[in-house]
Amino acid sequence: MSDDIDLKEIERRALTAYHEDGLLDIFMGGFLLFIGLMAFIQLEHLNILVSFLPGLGALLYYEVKKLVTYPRIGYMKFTHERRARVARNSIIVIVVTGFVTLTGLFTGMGAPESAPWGVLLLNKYNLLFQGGVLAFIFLTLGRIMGVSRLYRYSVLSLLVFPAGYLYLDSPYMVTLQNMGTQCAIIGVVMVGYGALHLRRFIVRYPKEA
Amino acid sequence: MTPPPKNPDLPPVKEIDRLIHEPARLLIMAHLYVVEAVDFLYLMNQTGLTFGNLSSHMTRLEEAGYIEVEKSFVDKRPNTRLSLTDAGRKAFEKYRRNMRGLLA
Repeated sequence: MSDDIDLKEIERRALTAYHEDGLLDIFMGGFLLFIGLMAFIQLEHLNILVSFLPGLGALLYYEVKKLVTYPRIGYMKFTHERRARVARNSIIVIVVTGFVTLTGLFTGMGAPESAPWGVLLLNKYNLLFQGGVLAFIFLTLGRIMGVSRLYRYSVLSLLVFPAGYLYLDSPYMVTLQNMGTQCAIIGVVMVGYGALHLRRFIVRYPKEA
Repeated sequence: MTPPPKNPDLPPVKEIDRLIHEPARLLIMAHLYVVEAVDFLYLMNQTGLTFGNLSSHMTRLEEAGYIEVEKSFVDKRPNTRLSLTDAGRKAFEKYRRNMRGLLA
């Protein structure tokens, strides 16, 4: 009988149930949408605002989770080891890829024509570079958190960013607006997809009276 | 008829914990093993057990010291949280080891 009990499968089902509400998609998409909008508004001290946002978003995420998810499917708390591992690995991925993205962005941004060929190449194909980085973030976060839905956003990033060469005004120039537009598109898709999940979740698990 | 020779590597059947061996309780223990704590509603959803069924198995596991039950109020509603005790975790690991040995 023991062989019939697949603990990995039980853990996977627990994870699926925990993220079935689509809130993760809504919050991540909302963050991308925010970055996209801010790139156009060009607020002063945008970097400080963006660096605080994940922390604030996480707090809000757990509060909404308490209101929407737990009353419907019940409360569950993953083991301390798992929570610590997920938090540590996610922070490493976001910090490292954030650093790589900003380096790539600002290296290409003001590059003169006499710049080394590597910088010029990065400048020319910055959309591909950004799409690749975002796809990598979704891929690794999906793996770390055990949410396979994030893999779809990885593919979406690989499609949306290169597609920018077709409709952006100056796709071969590195601008915050280019990155913002692409982030906003992915953000809108994620928020929409998350909202669909949330609606399905609420219908499937009505709140007990 | 002579009985078949005993395999010294196999654990005897009597070492299998019968309290855990019951399918519903085994399911409860397995679900609690992969998390730190859950509430009653979550366990009901995940195991498919009815309120009464889950409640009676929960009591037996609590009496054996395998699970810890914490009752409180969340938003003025009664809430029951369950978690495996150290003894329960060890008992579940031992049960799995014994069953693997027996079925190997």
